[in-house]
Amino acid sequence: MATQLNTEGFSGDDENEFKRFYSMNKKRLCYFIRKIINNNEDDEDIAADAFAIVFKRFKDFESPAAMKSFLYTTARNRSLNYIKHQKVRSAHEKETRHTNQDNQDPEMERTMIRTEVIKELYEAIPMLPPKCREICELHYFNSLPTNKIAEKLNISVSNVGTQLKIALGKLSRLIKI
Amino acid sequence: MFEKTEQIVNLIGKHFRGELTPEEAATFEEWLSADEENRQLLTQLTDENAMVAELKDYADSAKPGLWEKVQSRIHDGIPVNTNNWQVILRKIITVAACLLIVFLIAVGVFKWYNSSHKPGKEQNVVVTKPVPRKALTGQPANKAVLELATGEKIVLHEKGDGPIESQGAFKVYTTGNDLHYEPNGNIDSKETLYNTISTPRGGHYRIVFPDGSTIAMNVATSVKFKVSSAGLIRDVVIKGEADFDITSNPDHPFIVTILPGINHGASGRVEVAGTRFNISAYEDAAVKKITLLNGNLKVVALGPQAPELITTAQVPGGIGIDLAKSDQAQIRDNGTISVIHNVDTTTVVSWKNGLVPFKKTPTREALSIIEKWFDVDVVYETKNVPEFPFTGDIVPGMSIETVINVMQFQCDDLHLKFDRTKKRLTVLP
Repeated sequence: MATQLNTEGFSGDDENEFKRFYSMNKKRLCYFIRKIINNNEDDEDIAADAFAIVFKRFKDFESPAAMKSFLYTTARNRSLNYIKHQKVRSAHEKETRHTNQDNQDPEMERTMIRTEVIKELYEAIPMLPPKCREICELHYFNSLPTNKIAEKLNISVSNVGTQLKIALGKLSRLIKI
Repeated sequence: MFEKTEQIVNLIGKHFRGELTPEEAATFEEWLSADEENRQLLTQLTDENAMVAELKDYADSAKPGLWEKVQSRIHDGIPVNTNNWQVILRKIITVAACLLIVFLIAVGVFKWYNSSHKPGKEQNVVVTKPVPRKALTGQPANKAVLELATGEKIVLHEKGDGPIESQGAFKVYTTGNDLHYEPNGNIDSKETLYNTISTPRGGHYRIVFPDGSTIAMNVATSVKFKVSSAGLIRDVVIKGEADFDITSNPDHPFIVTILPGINHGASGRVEVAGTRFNISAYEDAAVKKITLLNGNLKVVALGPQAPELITTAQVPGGIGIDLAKSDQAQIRDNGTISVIHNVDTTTVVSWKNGLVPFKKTPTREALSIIEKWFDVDVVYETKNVPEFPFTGDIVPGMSIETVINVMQFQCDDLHLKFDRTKKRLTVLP
């Protein structure tokens, strides 16, 4: 799966720390970036940039919180840069609502809030009661199409949709934020 | 950027759960009114239709190729802008690499196909005994093996209630899932005789000593002690995990010796005057933990050594740490002991009720626990195992498949394959 990281000057612990940091943040970072740049293609490139930059400065961080903060700020800046370049290259690119570079941009804040809430909902799925959890795992984790889920669980397709909505209600009451 | 975000996220959570205090509700309303878009965001977050789609979008984020991209940027440098020719070039190279790999596989398949058709090759048929399903669902069964002083082994769960031949100065018998030792009137025997009780993976058992002290053994654990000195048994050696409930006897402190791990790190000794404590000392664990639930206890770290058995008379004066109730001593392989106060003792002994908690448990440790609890073999087909702090509980009745699903869900870089007939859990690259 993964090739060895270039670990000049790194201890084995640091490498594991970074892998753990990567595992824990990759989904929310990609999601966050996608919401800013408003497309589904280049988010991973920007995310990869941001992680690599964090890795290069790994030893400079005082705490995981500082590292995470830097990761997001870097991703945000690169995303805004990306948008600027897109605009310059093509006037017909999809409009994005994020125009403000400054720290207090309310749109950016909202995107962060949205990201964090969805992350918590997603991570609460294992805590659902068994039947609910099963249908969520099939849909979100295994990416099984709705008709296949209906077949597997012996329920109607519309029931699948209903169950997923009910699950969401439960998730929102399960999250601990 | 972040404190404000955290605060609002926190309020949204409380709003979902209906837990907003009047003050918090006011702050929340302030935020909602400050900007129409804020209120709209809340509406979207509570719109179940929209959220199912958003969750799916989130779930699909960060596809497996992302790690490769991170790697290549670390090795080759990070482009100034994301959206430029370096990225395009990288994409072309990736496609070319994929085509090359497909080509090589095709060549490989062709060669293999031509060479594998040898005449006269025998088919070996392997018959495996069907595995009882119960072993692979959460609750360990009562199973243990007693090794007598003579070396003979008795399978306690197949034996049925009743006596076993006398061991040294004690008579031994089983009732239910307990193994009892009582004085049989013999005096000290001339030879040194030991008994060892071992639980297999997926097995629990309990030992009861002459003074009523009990040791409840967790899976894959073994406890060894002398039976040749008449009177009391107050000296045991353990590897694995057990819950001790020891009768008070100030004249005879109960001593537990913990064997060093497979890396031959430090071992430890626990002296108690009459207490309830849990010891977790699996050989493959980097940290051995001793948690005091009640009473008094002293922990001494010994150097790397494999003592046969340490009796009270031989006890060297190591530096001991006295524990208070709800303290947990942790002995590391290098011999250092640290103490954590006010641990949640219910989670430490919850294994007795069939509940195994994972609290930010790293990958390899989690897999080792699963190996012992469910009695399966964990096989690593890769050295690069993604490190992840897993959180969750194994509860009674939970199947190993469910546990595996949850782990892969929490860390989708971890690829596990479980073969029920072979009882083998493979970690794939």
